[in-house]
Amino acid sequence: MAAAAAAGVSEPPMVEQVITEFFAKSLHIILESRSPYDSSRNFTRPSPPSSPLAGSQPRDRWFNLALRDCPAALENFDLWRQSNLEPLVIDIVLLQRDNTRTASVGASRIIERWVIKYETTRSGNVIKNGGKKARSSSSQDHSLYRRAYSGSTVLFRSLYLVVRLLPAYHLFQGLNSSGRICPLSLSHKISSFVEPFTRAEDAEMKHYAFAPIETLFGSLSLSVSYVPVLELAAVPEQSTPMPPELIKDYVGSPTTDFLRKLDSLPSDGIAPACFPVTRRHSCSTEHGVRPSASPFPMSSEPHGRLQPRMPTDNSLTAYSNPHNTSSSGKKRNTVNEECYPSPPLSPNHPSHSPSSYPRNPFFRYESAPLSIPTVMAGGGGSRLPPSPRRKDKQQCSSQNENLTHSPNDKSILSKDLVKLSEFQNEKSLQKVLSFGNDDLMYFRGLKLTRTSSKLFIMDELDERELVFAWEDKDTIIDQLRRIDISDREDQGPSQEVGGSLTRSPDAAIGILMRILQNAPGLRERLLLPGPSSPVPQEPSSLQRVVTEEHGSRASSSAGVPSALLRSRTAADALEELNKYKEIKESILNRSKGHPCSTKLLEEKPADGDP
Amino acid sequence: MNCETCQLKELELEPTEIRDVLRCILHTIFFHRTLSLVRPKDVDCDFLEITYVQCGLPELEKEVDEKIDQFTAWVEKHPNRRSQICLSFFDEKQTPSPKRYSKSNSSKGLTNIGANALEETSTRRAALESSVNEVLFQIINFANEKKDHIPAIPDRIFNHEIMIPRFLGLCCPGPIHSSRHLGGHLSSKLIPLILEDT
Repeated sequence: MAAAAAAGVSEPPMVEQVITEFFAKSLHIILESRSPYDSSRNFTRPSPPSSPLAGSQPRDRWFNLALRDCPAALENFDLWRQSNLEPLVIDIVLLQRDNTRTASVGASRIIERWVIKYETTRSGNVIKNGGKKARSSSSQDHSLYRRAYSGSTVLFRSLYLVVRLLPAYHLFQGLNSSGRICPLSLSHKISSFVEPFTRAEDAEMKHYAFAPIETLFGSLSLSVSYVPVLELAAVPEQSTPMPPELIKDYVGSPTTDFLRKLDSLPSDGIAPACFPVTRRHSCSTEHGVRPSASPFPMSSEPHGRLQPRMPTDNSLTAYSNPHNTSSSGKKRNTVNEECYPSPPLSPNHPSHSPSSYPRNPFFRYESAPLSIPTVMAGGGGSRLPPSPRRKDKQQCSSQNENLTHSPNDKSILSKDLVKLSEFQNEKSLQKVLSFGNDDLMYFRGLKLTRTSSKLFIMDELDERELVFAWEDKDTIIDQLRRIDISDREDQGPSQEVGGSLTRSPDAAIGILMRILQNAPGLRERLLLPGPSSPVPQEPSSLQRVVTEEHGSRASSSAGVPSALLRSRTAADALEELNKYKEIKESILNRSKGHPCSTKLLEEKPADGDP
Repeated sequence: MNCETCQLKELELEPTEIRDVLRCILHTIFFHRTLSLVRPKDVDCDFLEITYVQCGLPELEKEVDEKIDQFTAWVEKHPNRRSQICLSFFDEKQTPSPKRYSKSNSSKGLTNIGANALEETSTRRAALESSVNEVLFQIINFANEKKDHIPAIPDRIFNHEIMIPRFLGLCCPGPIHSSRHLGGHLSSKLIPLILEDT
């Protein structure tokens, strides 16, 4: 071959084959444990015809060491490998990216250099057991071949182990197993000349050389220079979004029923859709490891994509360690096996404040507890009549008649009540707010919820949200007026509910409102021996109720029993509605039979309601 | 008798570390002496940051585990004692007397770690890792430097024998020849635990 010819002597063809395969096998073993991007194709190219093993042994089985994966560099090895006399220099380079978002490479450092050489000796090697032999007999050639082959076999056993004992292997393992985007990556450079190290680099390096394999006219040598300690600097970890978490005490009081219910629910179903659902340790095809300490200047953005530099490698595919799948009963390091989870890349997790949470439309972010189950159920659908549609809401005149309070419901007349209504002659705007702290009521399609200090009026269709200060009744009235004006503009012909209030939710609500409107004052109710009969009132009566409340609140508040202060729930409201229905029917029946009694009842609310 | 002997560095181990370290060393020796076609298998030590290589032969793994179990059982009965494992490879040539062409011994000293040593577990573990690395490189160097005595590559593993201490006062049972190659370790076996580099 060319190598021997240049030296004036030539090795036997079989030995030449061993020499050629020696270089290839060395490259294979080294890159297999240093380059995470190499091909995983099974290389089964047959041996050249000149080899005694031609056709019987695939290349990966040379030297009785079966390696499954074939580095991509090896595929073109024979093409660019001109001569066995040229040394094969494999530099393992530790690369650091400047920017995790770009492929730009920052610092690079050679952490290992493998040098495989075939050096000829003109005089030839003295073969034991007889001295120098002439290449006359094929048996001698075969003997030489076997010696070179067996010696190489043992050497490659050692090489296979040494590459795993050197510090770079742990780095390779971390890069190979971790799918995270990391600032560091391993690359390799193959050349046929030895670029000398600097003094500092050389002083830092340690050297190890394998025993040379002697051939007839030369020797094969393999050596490595490596950095004994790879100190990788701590890198500021990339801030990763927190995984979705359930903050139990974020909304309102921790004692909120809804929040307690959430404890029993899987977190997957609770996390709001707008949360950034990203895994803390996401796997990707990138290879990198979070360094712990290093003299390398590290960028503040450690993550990014980096492709290895390979002179002949054009295909970058995922590298799979064949030894992980070699046989059953194997034991693997936790680093290699665990892709999930990987060590946290960033110790500095973003401080997560409640304000950074995206708002859940189902939650009302208020300080006071809310009747959230009612909200989640679509506004208390199970407990209250569903919200009437806006266009079905014209029930003013007929609703007024039935809008009375239950005579037995003292909670309505608590000191927290704010009765507010505004009636007009033709189309009344009934905005009676007479519910407790946790009540949810519907009024003409408006969802009324009240906290301890604020009143929310939301139109479910428009999702308008009017927040009123509890004490600012004038503001409430004005805004409700505006709502009414806008409603009237959109509404079609009014719908007479009248006697059909029991048939539609709108009607039921209208009736409720009417009952509440016509309910007698607290004082009167307390004084009355029996259930008070709600009396349909004129629209203006509610205005009088509000006006009188200003004056009578101070005087009546002292006398309000404590029982009236109990909070009302949707169930209570529904119960009250049913009572009102009964009262209404009784009134209707009574009015038919006794028209004079209705007049008396009409006068009583004017005496000063609380 | 042509027998190459390799005396490995003595190691001090906790009882929980015996199995891991023994498997690492024994399989490394077998990997260098199994010259038939093998598909190597990487194995990571449980307690050490070391990756060693097995031949990928289930029968061999089973044999090694069995011997280690026997050794471990012996150690449990004889705590705080130095003990030795001898691994020998034989040539199958038809000769009047079997030749041990290669032998690697691993000497181990055992000690019970007291409560005070627990505080230095990480330091001790790092030192043990360094020592095991030294032992592995000892095997590598010996296997690469001493190759002339290795016969032609067979199509199977060389005949071998793993000898563990079984009898009190006797290091390795077997032919008297073996005692010659063990050197002075027979007599040193019963000496109280003393760490020394050989």
